[in-house]
Amino acid sequence: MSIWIEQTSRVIVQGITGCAGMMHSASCLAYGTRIVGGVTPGKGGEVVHGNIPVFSTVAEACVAVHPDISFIAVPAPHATDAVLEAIDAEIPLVVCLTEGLPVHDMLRIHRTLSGSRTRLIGPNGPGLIAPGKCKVGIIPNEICKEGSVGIVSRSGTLLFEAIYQLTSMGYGQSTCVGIGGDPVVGTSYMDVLKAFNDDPQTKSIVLIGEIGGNAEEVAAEFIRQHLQKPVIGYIAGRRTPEGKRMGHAGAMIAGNTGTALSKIQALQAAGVEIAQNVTDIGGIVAKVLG
Amino acid sequence: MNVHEYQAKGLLKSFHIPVPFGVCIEENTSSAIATALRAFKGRPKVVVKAQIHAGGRGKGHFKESGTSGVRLVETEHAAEVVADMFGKTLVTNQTGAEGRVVHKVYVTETVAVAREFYLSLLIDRDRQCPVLMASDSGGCDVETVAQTHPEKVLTFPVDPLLGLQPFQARRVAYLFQLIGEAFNECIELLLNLYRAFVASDACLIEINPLVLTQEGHLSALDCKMQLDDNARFRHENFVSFEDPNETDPTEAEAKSVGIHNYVALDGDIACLANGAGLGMATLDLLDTLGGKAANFLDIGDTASAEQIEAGFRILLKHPKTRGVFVNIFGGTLPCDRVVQGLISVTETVALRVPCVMRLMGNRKDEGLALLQRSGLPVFVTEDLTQAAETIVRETKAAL
Repeated sequence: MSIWIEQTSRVIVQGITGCAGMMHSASCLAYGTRIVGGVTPGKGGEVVHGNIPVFSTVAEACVAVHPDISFIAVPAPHATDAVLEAIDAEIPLVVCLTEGLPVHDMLRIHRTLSGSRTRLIGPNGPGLIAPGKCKVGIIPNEICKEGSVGIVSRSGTLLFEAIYQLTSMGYGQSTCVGIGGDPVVGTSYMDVLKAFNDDPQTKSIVLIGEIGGNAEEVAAEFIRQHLQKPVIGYIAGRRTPEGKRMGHAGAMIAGNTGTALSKIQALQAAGVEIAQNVTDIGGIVAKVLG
Repeated sequence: MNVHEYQAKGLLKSFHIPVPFGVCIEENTSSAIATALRAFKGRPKVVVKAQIHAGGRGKGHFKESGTSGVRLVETEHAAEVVADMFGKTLVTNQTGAEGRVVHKVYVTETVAVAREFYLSLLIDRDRQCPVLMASDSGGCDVETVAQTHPEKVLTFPVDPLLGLQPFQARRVAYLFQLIGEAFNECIELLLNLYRAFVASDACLIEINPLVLTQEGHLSALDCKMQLDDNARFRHENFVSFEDPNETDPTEAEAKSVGIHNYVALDGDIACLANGAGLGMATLDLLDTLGGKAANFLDIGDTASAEQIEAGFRILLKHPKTRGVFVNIFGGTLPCDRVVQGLISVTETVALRVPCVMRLMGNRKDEGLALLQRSGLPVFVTEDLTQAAETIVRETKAAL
């Protein structure tokens, strides 16, 4: 079992007729993801990728093709509306890749999610993949290998880096999840850790964090109290100056909070083995798993 | 994005929040200053305030004269004081020792202050909601007050779907011990402030101090505001808030071509990566190996050929650059597009320093082939450790 996505998952793509939507849906189809429909307002009735029907609303898509995942590839000015439409349609899993959502929009989305039937992954992340089964997002197909390590990361490229190192060393993955680099996201490290803890396929976990906020510290507390599986951690941004926004809207040290050191110490105190550099992740996994 | 005090107050005013009357002078000419000061005719005194993107101006001092960045002066002497601030360097506890050069000066009316309060709205990412903070000890550092007298600081979350509610506003007005007309003004001010916070896509609005005047009215004496860069697409006025004088020139140049993730640092290895996390991890790795990054540049995973070229041009012409390190793990971004960007730029800007490229992911073989055909003296590998060790060694050797 992977977490949240599987071979049988039925996926719709919101924004499928756009440039990003076409490209990413093609890559997911090539991986074997069951894309059962697309949604673009005003383009209902069209067909893309040979046989995938396009609907004008998510509600129509739900009646016709019964999706359990919506993959949102819509530019920032329309992404909030797209996410709210998917939540309204009670789609269980919504994956939003969009970069640059205004933080006030994300606050409203975050509040709407609580009490809804939807889990949102993202925004501003690479999505997720269950190697050999299903991919929803942009994680490169060829670097993944099915196995038992669960990986969670805020950063997309660092997630790729970790997957690549593990695969090169022969360690396959159960599910790889990019939760997104924004200060407010739909799914936290803790949500992913809980799911990995309950997932029989996942035997160990790699957690990749970065400076800013306290999500890694919260995750560390959860690991200390509840996690039964070995965890390997890496935190990016040890050498980042205070008060500068390092690309991710979320990656910023403010005052004494959000530093790499505080995150590393919290994780170590919870028994997590820390890779000092990004290039050490594979080696530490090998050391821990033997 | 930070905005100047006069711009923040302009925004507050448009949401019916009372601010002292003021005029911003953007040009150091006697006619511009005289025109602005005409508005204060008949008032014995005015306040002259240097406009820089940093707090602590009142307690700060000019390097040249030692005087403060906020001065209460007689109106007849105001012109000299204004002219004297232009082009001078103001050092405050937030600017660092190098200070900031003043390019704009704001003149406001004086206000007879009876009491001072603190008020702010911000986004609390740990709680994932907006938070209102208020204190009846205005004018001072709220973080210190929160530590020494926590009972003097009121902090509560606001539901982003419901917005600030009247009962929450009343808690603040009671904390401020306001009565009568001022109590009602306070409620209205708070509800308007929350509207301004949401409608302007602000991440922070801090009014410190908010004052009760001797006439019994409220007025926002100073204001600090940060706006959300991500909300640019729905705010035409954001462009007008940008101040090139307040940005590092290279950061401004990067921004002008759509690269929003450039940060200047103090080392000598220029870095380019396709992702924020990978970029930060690259700086950490170089540091471990004894190298120092000259900058952080994340071109993102969807960069166009033009943006990549602009990125390389910025790196190569930087005077501190002694080596160039490119770390690409292409998800969406094709590696050959990055290589092509470097080739195009080196047609006009010579590659005089060691350059190492680490190429992985999307179209890495095509990128590698393109680089080999170009004959550029670039060391390329898919091994990140080897790549980083090489650039650190070659940069040191080239010194």
